[in-house]
Amino acid sequence: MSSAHVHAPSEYRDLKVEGGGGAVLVIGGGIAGIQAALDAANAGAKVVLVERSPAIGGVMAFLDKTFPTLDCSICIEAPKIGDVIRHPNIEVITLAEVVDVKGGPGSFEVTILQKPRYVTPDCTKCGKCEEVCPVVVFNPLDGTSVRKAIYLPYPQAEPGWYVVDVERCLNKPPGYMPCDRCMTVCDRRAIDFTMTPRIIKRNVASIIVAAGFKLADARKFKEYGYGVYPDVLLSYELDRLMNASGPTNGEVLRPSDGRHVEKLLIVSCAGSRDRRYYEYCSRFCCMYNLKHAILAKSHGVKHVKMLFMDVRAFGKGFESFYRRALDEGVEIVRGKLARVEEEGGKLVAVYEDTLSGKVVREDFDMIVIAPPVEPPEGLDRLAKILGVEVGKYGFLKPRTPWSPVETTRPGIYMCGAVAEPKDISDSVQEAGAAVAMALQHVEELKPYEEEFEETITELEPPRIGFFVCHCGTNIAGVIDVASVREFAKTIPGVIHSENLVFACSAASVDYIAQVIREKKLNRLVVAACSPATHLRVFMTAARKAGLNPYLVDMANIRNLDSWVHSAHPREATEKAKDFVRAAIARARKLKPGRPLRLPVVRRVLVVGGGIAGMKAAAAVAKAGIEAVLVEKSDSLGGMLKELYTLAPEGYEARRVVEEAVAEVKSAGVKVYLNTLVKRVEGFAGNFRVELSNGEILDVGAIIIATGARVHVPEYLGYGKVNNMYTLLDVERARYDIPGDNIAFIACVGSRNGKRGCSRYCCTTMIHQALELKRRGKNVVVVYKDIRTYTPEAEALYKEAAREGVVFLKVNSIKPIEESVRFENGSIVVLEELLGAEVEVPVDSIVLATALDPNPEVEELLLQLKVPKDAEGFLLEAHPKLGPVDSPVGGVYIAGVAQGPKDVKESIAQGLAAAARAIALLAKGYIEKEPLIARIDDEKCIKCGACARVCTYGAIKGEIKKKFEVIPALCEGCGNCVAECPVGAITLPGYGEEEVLKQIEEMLAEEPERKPIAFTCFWCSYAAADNAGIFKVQYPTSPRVVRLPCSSRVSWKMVKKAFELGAPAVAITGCRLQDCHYQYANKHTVRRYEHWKRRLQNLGVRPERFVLRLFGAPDVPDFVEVMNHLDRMAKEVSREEIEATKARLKEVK
Amino acid sequence: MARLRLDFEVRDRVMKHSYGTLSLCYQCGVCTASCLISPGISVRRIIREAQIGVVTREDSWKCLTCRYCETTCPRGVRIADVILGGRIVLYERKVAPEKLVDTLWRVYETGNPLGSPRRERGVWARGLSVESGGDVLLYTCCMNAYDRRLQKVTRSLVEVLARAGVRVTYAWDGEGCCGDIVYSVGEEYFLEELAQGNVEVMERFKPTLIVVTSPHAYNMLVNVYPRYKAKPPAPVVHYTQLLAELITSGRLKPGRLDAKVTYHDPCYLGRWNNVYEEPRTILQHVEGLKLVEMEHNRSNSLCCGGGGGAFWSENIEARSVTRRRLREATATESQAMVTACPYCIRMFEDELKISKYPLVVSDVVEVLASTLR
Repeated sequence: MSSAHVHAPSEYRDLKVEGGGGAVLVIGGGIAGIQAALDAANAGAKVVLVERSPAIGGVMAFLDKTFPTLDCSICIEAPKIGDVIRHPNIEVITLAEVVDVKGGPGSFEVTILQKPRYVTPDCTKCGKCEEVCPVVVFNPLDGTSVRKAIYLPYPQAEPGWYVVDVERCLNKPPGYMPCDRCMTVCDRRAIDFTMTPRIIKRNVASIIVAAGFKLADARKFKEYGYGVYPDVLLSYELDRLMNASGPTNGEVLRPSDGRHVEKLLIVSCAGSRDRRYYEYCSRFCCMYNLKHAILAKSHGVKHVKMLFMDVRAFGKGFESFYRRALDEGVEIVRGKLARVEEEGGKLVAVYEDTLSGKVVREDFDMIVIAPPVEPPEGLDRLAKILGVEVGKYGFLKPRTPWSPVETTRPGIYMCGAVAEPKDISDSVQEAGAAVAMALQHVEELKPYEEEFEETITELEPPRIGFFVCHCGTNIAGVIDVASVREFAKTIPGVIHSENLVFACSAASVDYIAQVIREKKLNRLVVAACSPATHLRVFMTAARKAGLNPYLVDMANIRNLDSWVHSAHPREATEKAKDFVRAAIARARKLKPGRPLRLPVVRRVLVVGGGIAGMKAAAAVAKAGIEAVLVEKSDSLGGMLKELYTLAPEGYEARRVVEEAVAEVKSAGVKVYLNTLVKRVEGFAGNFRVELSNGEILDVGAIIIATGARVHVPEYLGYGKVNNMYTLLDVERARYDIPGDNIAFIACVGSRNGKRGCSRYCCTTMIHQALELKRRGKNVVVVYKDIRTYTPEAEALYKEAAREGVVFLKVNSIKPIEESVRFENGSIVVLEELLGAEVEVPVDSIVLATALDPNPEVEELLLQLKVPKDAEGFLLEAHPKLGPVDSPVGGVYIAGVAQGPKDVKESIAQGLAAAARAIALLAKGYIEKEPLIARIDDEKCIKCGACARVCTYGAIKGEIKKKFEVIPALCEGCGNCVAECPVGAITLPGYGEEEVLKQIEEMLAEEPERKPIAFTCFWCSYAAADNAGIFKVQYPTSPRVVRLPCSSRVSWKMVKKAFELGAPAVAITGCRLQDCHYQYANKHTVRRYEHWKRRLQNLGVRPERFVLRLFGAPDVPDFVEVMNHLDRMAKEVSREEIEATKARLKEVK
Repeated sequence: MARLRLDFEVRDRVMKHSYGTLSLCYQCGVCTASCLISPGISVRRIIREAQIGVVTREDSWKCLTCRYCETTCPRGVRIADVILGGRIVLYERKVAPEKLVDTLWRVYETGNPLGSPRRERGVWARGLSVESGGDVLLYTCCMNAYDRRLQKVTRSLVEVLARAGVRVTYAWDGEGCCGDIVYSVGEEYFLEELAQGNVEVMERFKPTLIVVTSPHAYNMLVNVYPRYKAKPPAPVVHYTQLLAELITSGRLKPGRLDAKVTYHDPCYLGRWNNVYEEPRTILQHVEGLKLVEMEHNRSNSLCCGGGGGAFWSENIEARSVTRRRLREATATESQAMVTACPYCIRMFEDELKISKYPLVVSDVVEVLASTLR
């Protein structure tokens, strides 16, 4: 809702890029490309996004859940996809590839070849073409489901039109056209086989390559039997099986016989870290394997076993995810699958359990292997076109080891897995970083400013225009649209009522605008499909007519009605009328709105002069925004200036520091040394900061890059035993360590049950170990799991092993100090792979210590209300998609302050934080949708209940004095509205009055047959929409009310429904961790429990009032709610309803 | 709990013997799970202990050094060499199976592991015209010289070479054991003496080419001798390489044999020395002969169960390996399993005396010779 921009889909437009100075080309529409496009466009660059496939979204659009939070993947990605498609500064070109690049930084001339889609934007996703298409194609994504030659890449795909897979289509246009079935059934005539390839030329200032990756063909690993045994699956095939919108609707069934899987084996490193196939680590498989293991358990698979060698759970929150898998009964065995055999019709896995030393032959119902990650198809070709180099393994090569997003050619940047295997959150972070670099070539940033003229100014009394759409036969084939039209005419205030065959067609939109103008209508209601996809179209109609676009509403009589009740035209028509009257009632109450403009200070404060802070400040300054860098010590460089050489490549740390300091200087960053931030207040765009030198600064954004500190153990004898060092000590000593026998001990202060992995240390430790070995020492490394997750780091590990560094493995779960002890001149290690104590002679010991949170920033965080995570590092807004955003608007985080990471990753985060700050301040004002709560001071009793529940801290005030909403912070969930005991808070379009009126309208006739379902816009309403797309049929009785968030549901609304005689009420919303308003829905749960007890006391059976939380793809869950409500409608007697009504009347 | 002490010196010795690959192992256990005589040997543990310089495991004596596990190793560890390196340390500590030690004594006393008299070395050639003065030196395995069954192979070879006009010379009782068994046991000092002695004898003939009958001898001469300061005076070939060359260059034309056969890759010819195609080339040139492959062939071929000293130590676990290969050969419905190594032939034929398989075992050169008679 917050993204209801008033624009046609961007693919309609021909972006005018003049002179090339203002545009950025993004290649690849996966999550990295999407994020890059959004960050660049929001910062004011024009963006050309080129995607090879028919839809943007990439791999993430097909995943079920994401680790480590188990968020629903498409639920969190879809809003970003929508933002890209609707963004006025982004041009999306799908089915296209870059074929030529001329020129240089600042003025690249790009030639793009777009293949024909054979379906025009007139497509309404009705799906009739798919039904009649005679060609069945195995879906290459999961290998088990099927699609047709004309298809929609995925339900929420954008651009949201069908596409013809011309390779498989019987037609070979333009010459050979034997089949016309799809064309004949398409009411919109949206299928056009005369389309031809297009050459598109664009001038851009810089290029970001986000071409992603592909998975290796697992058939070449013969020993695993993939492609031979049907029940050996690839990870993403299992993922699809567990996905509610996958081929089995979320059940884990064996492809061979369709039986439920009881015993599942998940195999890591199936081809990765293997000299025969792929030398490098594919980095994210360990985590998704753990995810699949946990999910499989929750999908009813009794025994889940995982085979791994080193569990590489190195990211933030990953270690606890690993422990969670163990707690949930996943059996994690250390070993590598040797082979898969078939024996007596059973699938047998053969491997050695390396901790027990037993060779195991065990049968499984299903074996899932994690294939290696490869460069995307054709990357070598693309690299040639772009004139950039590829590295040893075929991924794009960075300019220097410490430039994570720069290719070897100036002006061309990269992000995501195209540079090496990478997970979503690291990719998103790099996307921001690439944008920060790419913007430096953009001459002038011109943020899009939307202007429209309102000519219709008389808004009361309401003069409502109503249109009902046939959607070809999609609606009209089930619902009697004429009777709906006539019914609307009877509603007071409706001046115009008409039916249209396709209300959303360009011609219809113009016609609606004309009617509005002619009849001076001041409200518009369209009964058609989902407002999620089409409200913006009708808002455009209003704008064209000079009517404020916020005076438009829709009744969703397609996805929520005709599509899901196709066998019940009478009931569907009745339901449509109820939806229509409710929408009209709501429209009557709508108020004109305008995106809010909040002025901002175009200055950024960066706290911390380490590498992340320096990079952030320099990038901000280069984008033309003033940057102030505050450093507590007397020089820049942070921890990095203490380091000697950097792992894994071994370059000198000094060079990186010098380069960054020079950059800070040349960019004109204002640097304050020996300075701290004393006090800070304000909000996004307008902070006031007091420095320790007394200076007061107004800044629009703050980047916290305050670093971390090296863990100092109070155990293992550190500080007492001679010749004991930390990794940092070794750096300071320039690797000059006494003695011949050196032992490194890993995970000191990390992975101890309280703290997770410190990420940087394995690679650094091995780097030092190798260096010492090369200096002729005997070197031993005591470790839990070796987590060298980048290709260079894995190669370094192998090199250290080759040179003879001895690696001793200890227990992965116990704190390291329980596995190592000292005995006169030796350490004794409990070595797991030998099952024995190993005595190691040592002269010097090096502890690979953790990075601990910096305690000196406590005060700053408190003042900014930036929360910390469970380990004490700064909490990001979202671990996947908001890695550099703090939950507080205008405050960004970078570097090890957010969690342990290496120099390259800190640089990426610094740049990414800069890009976010630039985007925030680029326009000079912040624009917000006018969905903002307002407190009526007269009604307000100054109790502060609203402020307590607001998850954004958007309500400020003092008890007994005054409370008000800070518009800049409010996101419009309506949680406060529901909490207010006196109904003093309103929310445009979703105020108490508007929603109650809708309930009244829906229950105006025969309420005892009509249970009410409250839905949240993001998850449960989306699931209802998806039920429609899948044509899943369910009972007609429930009436659906759309709200921004389930936390908007108030007691009055529930009470109203029962009071009016509804047999049952359901509240539905996102799963707790998926809430789009930062856990606002935990208040839903709290209130629900309270109301349920209250209703029980009034004699309402608990079955009549239910709460269900699920995600957008969980169509079965939504349908289950509908079935339940319908059962209730049949079961609950009139007497019971009357009794409830009578009891409720007594309640105030 | 057992207590082990890290010993860098021992580790470095085994490391060197493994061509520096020992420490590459990251302990995935695929080798153990792939070992043909598993669960007899914990290959991974042997490697692990060697990585910390601990060499105690007696199960390393069971290893057939077939290198099958190495084809599955994701890190490229020369596992058989790790095990052989470990045996050197074990032998020093007098930890070696009695039967193998006895065999060494026989080699020491008679110049061959069978304990046959040195003067009878040439009995295999009785009735054949082995000329002296040829520039191709034939170097036979002790088995090919003394074992009555395997003498046939040697005779066939000489016959075939004569047909091709190759003049062969022979050292008669000057010839001695190549030392494969000595190497397998890890008696380095004796091996060095033996190797240098053999090279000295060879040098006397000033050969331009040395043809060996056994893949084990081939491996010793080509790969092992140079590590013990003994370099053969001329290029060394296994006879299949020479015959293939003679055939493809047209100097030798095989006759006809209507039969279906399968070829077993000897480990020391195949995996140890990458000779896979030459024996097949020879067979494919025989008119009427149909060559079929077993499930495991070439680099992932199975073992006969005779390598690494197993032939001499009555290694019980090895028998299951022998039988497994015979089963695979039977599954091809071939009349014969053809191979090119004296150990392989003896292992399979000995097993055939006990278990019934509808197969005969034959040497490549025997097949070839039969087509020329």
